[in-house]
Amino acid sequence: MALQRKTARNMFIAGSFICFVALAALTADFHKVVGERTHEAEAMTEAVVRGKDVWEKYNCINCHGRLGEGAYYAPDLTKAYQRMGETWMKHMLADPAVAYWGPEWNQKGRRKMPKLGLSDQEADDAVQFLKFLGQIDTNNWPPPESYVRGTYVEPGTPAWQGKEVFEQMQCGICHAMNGKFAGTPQGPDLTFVMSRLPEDWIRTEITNPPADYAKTVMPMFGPELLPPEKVDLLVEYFRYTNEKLGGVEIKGSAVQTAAGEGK
Amino acid sequence: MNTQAKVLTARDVAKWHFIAAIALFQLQVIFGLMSVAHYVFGDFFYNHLFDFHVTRTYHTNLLIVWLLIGFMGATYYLLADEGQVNVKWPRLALVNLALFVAGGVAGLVCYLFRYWQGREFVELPWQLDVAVVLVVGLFLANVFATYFSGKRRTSIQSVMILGFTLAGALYIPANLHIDNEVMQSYYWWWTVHLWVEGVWELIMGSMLAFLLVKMTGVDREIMEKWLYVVVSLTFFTGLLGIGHHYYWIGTPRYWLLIGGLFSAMEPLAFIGMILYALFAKKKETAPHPNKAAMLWTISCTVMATIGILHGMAQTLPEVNQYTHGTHTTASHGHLAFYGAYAMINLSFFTYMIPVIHDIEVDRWNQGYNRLSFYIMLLGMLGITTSTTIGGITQVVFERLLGRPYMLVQEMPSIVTSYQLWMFFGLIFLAGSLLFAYNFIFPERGLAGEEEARIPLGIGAKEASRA
Repeated sequence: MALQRKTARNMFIAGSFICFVALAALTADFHKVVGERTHEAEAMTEAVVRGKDVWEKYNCINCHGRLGEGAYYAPDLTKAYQRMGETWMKHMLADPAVAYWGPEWNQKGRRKMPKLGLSDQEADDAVQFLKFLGQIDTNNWPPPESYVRGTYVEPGTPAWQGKEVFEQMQCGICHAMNGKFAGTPQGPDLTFVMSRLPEDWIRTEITNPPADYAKTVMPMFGPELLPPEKVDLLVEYFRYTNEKLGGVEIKGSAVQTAAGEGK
Repeated sequence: MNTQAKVLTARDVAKWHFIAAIALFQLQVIFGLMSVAHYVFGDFFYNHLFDFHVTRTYHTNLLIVWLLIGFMGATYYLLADEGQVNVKWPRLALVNLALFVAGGVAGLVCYLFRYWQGREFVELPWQLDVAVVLVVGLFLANVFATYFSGKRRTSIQSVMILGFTLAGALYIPANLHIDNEVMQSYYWWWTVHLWVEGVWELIMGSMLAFLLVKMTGVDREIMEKWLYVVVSLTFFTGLLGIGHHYYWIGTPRYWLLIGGLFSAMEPLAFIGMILYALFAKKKETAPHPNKAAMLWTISCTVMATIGILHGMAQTLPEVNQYTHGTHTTASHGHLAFYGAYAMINLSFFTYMIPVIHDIEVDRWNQGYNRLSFYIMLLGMLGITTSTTIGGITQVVFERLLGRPYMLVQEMPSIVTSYQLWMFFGLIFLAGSLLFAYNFIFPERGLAGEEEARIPLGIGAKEASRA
């Protein structure tokens, strides 16, 4: 063969050097754009930096993943902020048994997150870190199909705030939503509630349930517990989910549709 | 046994490295099984000393440590044998090994107290990182001293030394603390990717070339020339092939093109290795009596290539966007790591069994070794097949249909894939235990002691029948 050992060696050295220089040049370019692609200036607060240390302190990556890299034993958290919202994540970090809503998830044999014992400060920082992850430009990953269902809500929108209200009021203790099952299903699944009931009926159901059905077990969420603007947000959340999953919203008022709807 | 030897030779140095590596290998498999038990039984050891993030950290760290110890033992032997000298400081080499193992064990103890760096695969706390750097520094000093004291210097040695020196240097990027998680991840991949798809392949290529030269007797000039071609392919595709980790972590879009292009070519280096091994086998001057080592060596190149092709199938961005972060990745990791790095180590160990025990090849029960080869092969193929199918199910339901993660994980078809994973894991453990048993007691289980004592040759069978 014409190829000599020395030639092969020189080819190896020269070629590797060229490839390494190319990698170094691309790295230099990345250093220039990383700030813009991660919105470092506005999004990377001190809490986010502390949150990264919390992420590493509790070795989160050896169950979860982030940016698709990790242990695959638990969900990837790149878009967790969009999927779960702040309130739910704080419940989860404080005590997963609370976040899982009762016996359904806590029964033996099911995979669950251990109680890690984060301080309140650490939990807040971790949530801010996950918020930071959620807004990185990841070239469209996870693929849109994987969050097209209502579990994914754009942070800051009224629907996202409504989801927070849903979690704060712990509606999920009795109601199922978006494939997330309630611990003890006392009440109906609310995923398509906007397809079943007109908006003002839903408002009445929240603020004054006995007005609709005297023997109801649903607690009353009066204005001192749930101000009207929060009820608006909840309705926005129901509307968003309903639309996203292909439900058709009932228009009009309760009086017009009550006869057709029934109970 | 050579009772006369008072001087520690490269053979003894390699022996203790391999014993340590094999012991840690068993532990790695056991912690792998504990991790899969978390999948099968859900809250197995829940809120316990051995939660999943602990067993998984053990599993991956033990893998890295035993592979490195195996590489180190092989390096000492290879450098001394090629250079036709002894290891420069054999006693230091053993002290070094003891320190390295002690450091690893200290790391495992730290993890039990939840004290770690918390960055995947490089969880070692920084205090131990410093210790590791010192120990590896001593190791490299010994290696270079041996290399320069050699009677001759060969390309096989050069490639090995280059591989280990770069591996040492590339340990640093992942251990830098960077505030921006994206930049952290970017440099973390320099360690992780450039190790396993870059410089470790140099170490592997060198070990492969050494074994083939030793066992086939093919002209060294030719083998060393093609070794350079193989490692060239590794670096030309692997360095920029890092791009397949830079698709979705916040890096610019042009990485989709660069990563796709170069990582799709990564199998070339491994296909090169198969051709390399088959070429040598075909040209062999006389069949080597250590048939088991030949079996391991050639199968290693084939299994590594299958593992890399498994990765190639999901490396293009169009596919990877859906498979990224699912169990198809874990499956590829198992197959490729076992095929390439575990098997090249086990090949080397197998080649060394008669050497380190200082016995004739026919005094060693090769049957057990080969049986362990087939059992582990079955186990690993079972593990990776079941997790591939589980992973594809996950892709369909989680990525395409948008079902929540845990609901998909509890689907019967995926639960079954985990049960199969555990079943084949147990088979694998049986194989690895048999390998270890045969490595330590090579003579046990031979058909008849009488037959075994007579050197292979004319009349051996007749003598045993009499």
